[in-house]
Amino acid sequence: MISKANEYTKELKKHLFLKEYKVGSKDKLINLIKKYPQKSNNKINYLIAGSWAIEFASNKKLKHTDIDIISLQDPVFYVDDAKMISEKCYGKIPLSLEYFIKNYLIVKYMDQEIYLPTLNLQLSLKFIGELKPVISKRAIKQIKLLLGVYEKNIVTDLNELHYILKILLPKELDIDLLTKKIIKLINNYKQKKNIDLEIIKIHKIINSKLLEAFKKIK
Amino acid sequence: MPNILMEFVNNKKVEKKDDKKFTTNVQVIDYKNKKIKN
Repeated sequence: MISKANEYTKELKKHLFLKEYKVGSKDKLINLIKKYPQKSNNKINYLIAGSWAIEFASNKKLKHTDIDIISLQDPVFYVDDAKMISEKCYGKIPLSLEYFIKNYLIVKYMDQEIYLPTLNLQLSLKFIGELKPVISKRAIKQIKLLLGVYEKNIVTDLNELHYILKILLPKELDIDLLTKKIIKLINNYKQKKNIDLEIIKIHKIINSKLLEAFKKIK
Repeated sequence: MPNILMEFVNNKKVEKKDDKKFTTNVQVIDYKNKKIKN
């Protein structure tokens, strides 16, 4: 079933593909936020996701290959300006609009507020979005940056993480167990125990089932 | 996130409806003032 983006989402997409800006550039992102405020009339219009969200949340500079946004309209849409087909995404996110309205992260940056997905959603999308047998070093680095942000007393909402995984992952996966493993990863990061290995293991569990599920729908 | 993944999660969503109710969880990170608010 194909869902169509609403007019606001289409406008955001159009802006993301303006030719005068480099793909994934800060200039493009700043211009986007100026022209289309993330919040207006007491409503959040869209969230910045992907590597830019990790940079804002962790306060660490990263290299960016694209700009990802989640348009909080009906339907909720994921849009990016990626050039590579493997990263390009324009489609409805099945997580509910109510979820996004009630769950998000605000980072105060240069006297303004930047609106991002929660750490749980950013972490889940990082694991899920790496559709390859072995997770990249770049993704491991970004996951570790996110884990570092949890250390700053961010509350880990188990129910939220469980909801995200249940909606986004194949039903063959044991979501209760996976949620526990990710929570353990978050807690272990605080104690710095075998983090890379744990990240690789969790990615492998998720990806093996995702790849199996793809074979079935193709 | 690759398009193919989005296609998959949307196909999956058609299989079951989730009527979960959410509590508000908004957190603020302020590096300038070194504050985290829940």
